[in-house]
Amino acid sequence: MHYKKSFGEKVSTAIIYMIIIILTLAFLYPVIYCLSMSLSDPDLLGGQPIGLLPKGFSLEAYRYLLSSSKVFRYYGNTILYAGVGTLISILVTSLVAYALSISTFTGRKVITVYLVITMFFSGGMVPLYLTVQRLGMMDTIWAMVLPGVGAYNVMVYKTFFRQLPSSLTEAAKVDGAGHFRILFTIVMPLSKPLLATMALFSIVGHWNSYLNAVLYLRDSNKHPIQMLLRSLLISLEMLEDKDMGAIAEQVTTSSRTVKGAGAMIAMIPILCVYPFMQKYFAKGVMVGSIKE
Amino acid sequence: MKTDIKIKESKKTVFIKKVKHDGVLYLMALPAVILIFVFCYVPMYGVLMAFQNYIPAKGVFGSDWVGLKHFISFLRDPFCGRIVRNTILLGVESLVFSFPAPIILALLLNELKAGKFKRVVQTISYMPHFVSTVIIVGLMLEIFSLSGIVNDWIVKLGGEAISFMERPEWFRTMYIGSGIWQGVGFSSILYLAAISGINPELYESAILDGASRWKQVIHITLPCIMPTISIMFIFAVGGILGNDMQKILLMYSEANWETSDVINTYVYRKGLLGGQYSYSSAVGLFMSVISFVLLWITNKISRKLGAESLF
Repeated sequence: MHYKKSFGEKVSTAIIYMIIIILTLAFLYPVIYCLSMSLSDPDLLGGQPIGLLPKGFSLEAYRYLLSSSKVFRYYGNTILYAGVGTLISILVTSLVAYALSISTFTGRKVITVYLVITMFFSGGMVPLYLTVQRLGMMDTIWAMVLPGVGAYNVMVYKTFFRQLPSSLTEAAKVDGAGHFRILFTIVMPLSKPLLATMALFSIVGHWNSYLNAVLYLRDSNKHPIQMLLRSLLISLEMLEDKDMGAIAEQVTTSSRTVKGAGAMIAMIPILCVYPFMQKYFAKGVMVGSIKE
Repeated sequence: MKTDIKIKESKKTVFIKKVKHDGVLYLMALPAVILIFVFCYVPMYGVLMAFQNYIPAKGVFGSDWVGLKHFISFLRDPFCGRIVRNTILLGVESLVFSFPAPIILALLLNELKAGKFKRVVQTISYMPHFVSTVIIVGLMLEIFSLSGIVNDWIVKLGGEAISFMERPEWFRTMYIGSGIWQGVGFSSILYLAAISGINPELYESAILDGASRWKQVIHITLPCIMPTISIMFIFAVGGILGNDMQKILLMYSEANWETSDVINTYVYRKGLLGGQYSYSSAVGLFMSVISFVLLWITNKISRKLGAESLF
């Protein structure tokens, strides 16, 4: 389209770009602040505010944290919960969504209603807590990974599976392939964008949550990295955990640089991965919004 | 008559055959059905304890029924008014400020020329979504502390330092502001996708008619993404009382309790820290019922107005 841009049009374009640039800086600033804090020289920093750049330069905070075996244990726990939780949720969700995507499946209606009810009603925090407790899952990985299967995701998967071209699955059926084989060798490989998105969301969810650990894990050896961050970054009156209390106490006496470094260490893996998944999750979010 | 029965029988057997034929599919659905049963339906049944004097050793079967006692004592609780007010105010203010934000951002981003700059801006706008709540609150404590960068500027400009994270009158601003920072970019994806689905011919003919950029937004873009907006709005209203408890638990302290204590945190404190299971379940149930009623009403209004609806 060729048309002359009026003066007003040009001004409005300039204003829009200005707003966008300011917003972008606002999105970035806290993370830059955190990075600068972590790289500052603890003696120069003291309690002073940071503008943009680190005060002095030191990797002392990173050295301190990475030399502590506890940090690796918390990190390992997080990776374990995120990995196992994501695998279970993708597997279980794919299985049920595949069954529901078959239009001749006799149990389709009943199971759909059974799932949808849970999207509108829930028992709430206390009954769920008591259920987990009664099942003997306190202080086990199962409390962290099993409650993650939700009806909403099933609907998203089902919608996606339905949109796949049926010619391939038909051909496999003619060749005598069973449902499991069709799901694992045809449907799931074709659904990579969806599965990648869901895996990312699930990993990020596990990576960044701390509340389930507060509720279900008494044993600090099993705590995820966010619990360490909580005691590092946020002074809490109810810090029952002595291990972390010790690390946190040293930090307040030593410096804020360790706070920054702790946050960076926890953030970096996710921040490095998500930009590459972007083209997938834009699609994934859309699939979720299609109503049936 | 006889043939009739035969047909019925054969229908029945056909159905049984079909079910048997679908055995594998039932098997595939089984793990999810079990997990949902254990972690959704069992707790739903556990909600009955809201009407009991629940004693863990006796279970839901053995505990005594007390009817609405816990609901009544919640309504009589001196904290009740404050908590309900805080929950509603926080929810409504969040809705008012957080809901339009991603729509506005999407409209702004849509005005950028497609290219590298736009892609980079979008990527950066998603970033806060991937930062954990603990880190966000930790950084807020840093940036907004008395000796932090914000107060540094306030003092430099001749103002008086404010302890943002402790003052009750600042709690909602801090909570909502950080929520927008965290979610605005990511939520805009949905609206951008909706915008990209608009037929470009509409814009072309509008330009030929001499419609300005602003008029195009008002008369084409917004009406075209209205279905998406209304669906998201219904969801948002349904979730109005369900605030981000992970964040509140990190942000609240006795200093700002006056505004930061909401139903969720109250349930957590009474139920899980205080062991008053029945009472806190009753409070939680009270909240869920109100949430569902809100969702239902909004849906109804939306349908009456001829917009999208959920059910």
